[in-house]
Amino acid sequence: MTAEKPTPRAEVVPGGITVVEATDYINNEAGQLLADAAKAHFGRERPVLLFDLSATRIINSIGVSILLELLEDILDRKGTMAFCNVSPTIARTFDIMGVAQYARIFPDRATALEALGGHDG
Amino acid sequence: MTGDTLRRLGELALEGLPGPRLPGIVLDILVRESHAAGGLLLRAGTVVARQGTAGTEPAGDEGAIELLPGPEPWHLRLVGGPAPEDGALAAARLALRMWELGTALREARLGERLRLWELDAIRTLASSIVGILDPETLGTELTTSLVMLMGVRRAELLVGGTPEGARRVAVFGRPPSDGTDAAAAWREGITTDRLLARPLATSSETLGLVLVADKEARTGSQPFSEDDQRLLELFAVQAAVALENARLYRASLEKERLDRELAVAAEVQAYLQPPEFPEMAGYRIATFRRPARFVAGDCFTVSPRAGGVEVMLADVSGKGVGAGLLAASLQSGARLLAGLDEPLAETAGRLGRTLHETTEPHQFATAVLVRCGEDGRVTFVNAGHPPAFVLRGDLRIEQVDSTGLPLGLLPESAWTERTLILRPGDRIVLYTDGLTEAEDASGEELGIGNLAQIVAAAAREEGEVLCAAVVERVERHTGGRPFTDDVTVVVIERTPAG
Repeated sequence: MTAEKPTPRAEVVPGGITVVEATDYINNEAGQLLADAAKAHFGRERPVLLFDLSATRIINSIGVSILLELLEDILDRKGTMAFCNVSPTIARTFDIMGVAQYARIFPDRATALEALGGHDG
Repeated sequence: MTGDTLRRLGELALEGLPGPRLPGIVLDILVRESHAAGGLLLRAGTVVARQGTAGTEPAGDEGAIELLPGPEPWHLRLVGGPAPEDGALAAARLALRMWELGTALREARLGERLRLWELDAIRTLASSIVGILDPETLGTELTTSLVMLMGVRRAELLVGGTPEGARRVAVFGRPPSDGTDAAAAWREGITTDRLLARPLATSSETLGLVLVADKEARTGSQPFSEDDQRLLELFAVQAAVALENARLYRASLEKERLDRELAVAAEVQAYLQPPEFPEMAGYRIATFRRPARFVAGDCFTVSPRAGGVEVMLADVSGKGVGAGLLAASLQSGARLLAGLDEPLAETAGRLGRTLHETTEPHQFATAVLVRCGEDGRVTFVNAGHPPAFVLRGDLRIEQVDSTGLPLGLLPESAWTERTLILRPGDRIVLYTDGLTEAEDASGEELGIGNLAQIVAAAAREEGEVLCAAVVERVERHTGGRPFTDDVTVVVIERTPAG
């Protein structure tokens, strides 16, 4: 088990949804890179952001707090934040830390995009 | 000041949990209200929001309007415009104070949720460790939990009682144990700003070491706190319990396996010494055996021969499986040799040599070999065994003492044979020293003389009943305490038909 260098990938898919693919370990650096990648696509008043966590195994407390701040920012902009492909451990963490209270969680990307009104390009 | 400005600032202040953009919005309202070209909002001297042409203004609160006092005071600096009216400033103060309170509340909630997360992780680990039997799975669970909860860049679990014998079962990032004082870590743990190590200790021993290093801050890293130490100690306790559970479980499985093997060995040994024997013209055999453990070092063979029988009773030195294996080997040898019809002393010599050649020097066996002929002639070789009793029909007892050294004690040895005549109704009683060395409550051994009296007292019984009666009387001597050595009795009776 090793910590990988975080390199998140972000794209806007048809429907105006920003999809960000998170890396293996979301810590302070990776978390900030995720937030920056997401904010770079905040082109409108009501942003819709989907984090695909299929590659993510671990998120630490600082990573969670960065996501919570981002969530707050998005809610402040009347936007939506969602997650898909979340591991059971991270889903439990999101539940306890209150992320799941305000963000939507989907089993996979297709389901998420359909529910959020977008689709893969 | 416009009523609109006051209304907007008031609405901002009254929002339930003002969002992160609130300081920027407040500044924007104040800049517009003052018709300024731009402005800065500073908290504790740090720029929180910029507006308009203030983008190039230096930070710092010198010459700025104090909005809120306190340990982290708020200041407003406007560029190219008059100070806002008092009413606007008061409304801005209210909005910022509410924002501060909201932020503090959020942080408190975050802290509370973090504690819940810790408790949940500990509970999850505690409940899952019952089923975790391999240290690698435990290590992965543990290091993952530590990385998540403590926000560390590196974590490691080592298993072993000492640094030299330890094995790394899980690691995240570069191993924190690299370059640390292993002896100190194992002894009492290590606490520095960048590294924490705690031994996984039970009440009696150390089972391993858990280490974490490089605690993250929002940017860069920060020193470990007392809370971090407490959390790591909680996890170390859980991990120690898990490792101990796994160790006990493995030991239990191993004991179960050994018990099964011993039960099989005992079954095999019992098979080699059947409780019943075929009908033999002129002689009847009765036996009693009670191993002190699963597998006995006592053994006997009964080999029918034309018009008679050959019997060997032996007691192998030692106890348990090792003695049992040797006893089985001796049985096989005695059975094979019984068919050769060579002098009994030669049979003893062959057995003794084989035993000496195939076993450790300290191993030997006492044995008594008895060959009973069709005409009642009985030949004895007693290789260091307790005396055999010959119980005559008139209840007199004769003894056949040792006629040589135990088998296997020396590479070459000689035994003399003793011969007597057994008449119908006469019996030979063979036994092992489990009976003569049985101790009473004061530690006094029964002895050969007392056993002879017991045999005489039970002499009116026959066959298996006689064997059981002898053992029962010896048990009275021990006060009912179990025998500490194997006990075997073999009775050879010359029957009237002979």
